[in-house]
Amino acid sequence: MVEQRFADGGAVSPLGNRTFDPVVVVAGPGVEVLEHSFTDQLDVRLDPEPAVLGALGDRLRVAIPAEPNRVGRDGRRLALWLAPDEWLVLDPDNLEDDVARLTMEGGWPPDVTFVDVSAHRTLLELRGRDARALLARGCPLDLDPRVFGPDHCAQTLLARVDVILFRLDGTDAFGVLVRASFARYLVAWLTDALEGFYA
Amino acid sequence: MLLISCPWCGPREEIEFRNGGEAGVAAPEPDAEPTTDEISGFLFFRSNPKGSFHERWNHSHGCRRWVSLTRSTITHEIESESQPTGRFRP
Repeated sequence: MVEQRFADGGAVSPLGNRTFDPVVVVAGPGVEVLEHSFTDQLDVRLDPEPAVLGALGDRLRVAIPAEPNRVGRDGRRLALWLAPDEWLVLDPDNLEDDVARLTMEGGWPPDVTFVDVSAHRTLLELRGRDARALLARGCPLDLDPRVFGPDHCAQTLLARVDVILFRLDGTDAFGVLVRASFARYLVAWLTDALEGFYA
Repeated sequence: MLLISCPWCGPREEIEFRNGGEAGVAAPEPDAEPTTDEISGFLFFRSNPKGSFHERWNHSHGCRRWVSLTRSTITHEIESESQPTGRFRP
């Protein structure tokens, strides 16, 4: 929805990518980090009334989780719990049409806010057999699949940077949402953490 | 390093939190025409005990909610369950 645009009209992601396709930014023998540039993101704040959450989920075509630190999924669209009154809806394909319809339709309680935060964070994917071990170098959370399953998400610190962690669907891959201005630092840290990994 | 239990996110490390000072400091009622001493007491003076201290923490790198708990200022042992403060209850 919102991208940084340069004089030539092309959008550039926080890691300098100019494509909508995932781009490998760090690679090692057992782990790969990719940037999914320009993932549409919508921040929703509202009172957690079950009826309103249900209506919002219907309208956005994804279940809005009422339970803390959980993820609702429908295909590639995700709804992440961020706070008792805040959710983040992600879609790598297109969220814009649904958001436009959502805001045009109205009928929401007066304190509801919908904010397009697509330019706020960029989405990194960590995949491969060593992805979890690499994350564990900078994050104290237990990311074992028995504890941190596909329906879990967490806001925490990874290498002293605020991130949102979750599992990408159906695989061992992790999604890491990092603020645009911290993305280069985090990739540099991941590269550095990987250096000593296979030594 | 303290391990602080967030009512929403579960046990998390201290670096995810920001200390918010003493909990339960009541503001003087404006209608009661508080004295200068009452106002400065509310603004600037805290109990600073040696032992159990009821304090607030903000889970600033997580869900950004406030919690209150009792901690020993001698041993740093957390002596109570974390309670959510504010509008939302888990």
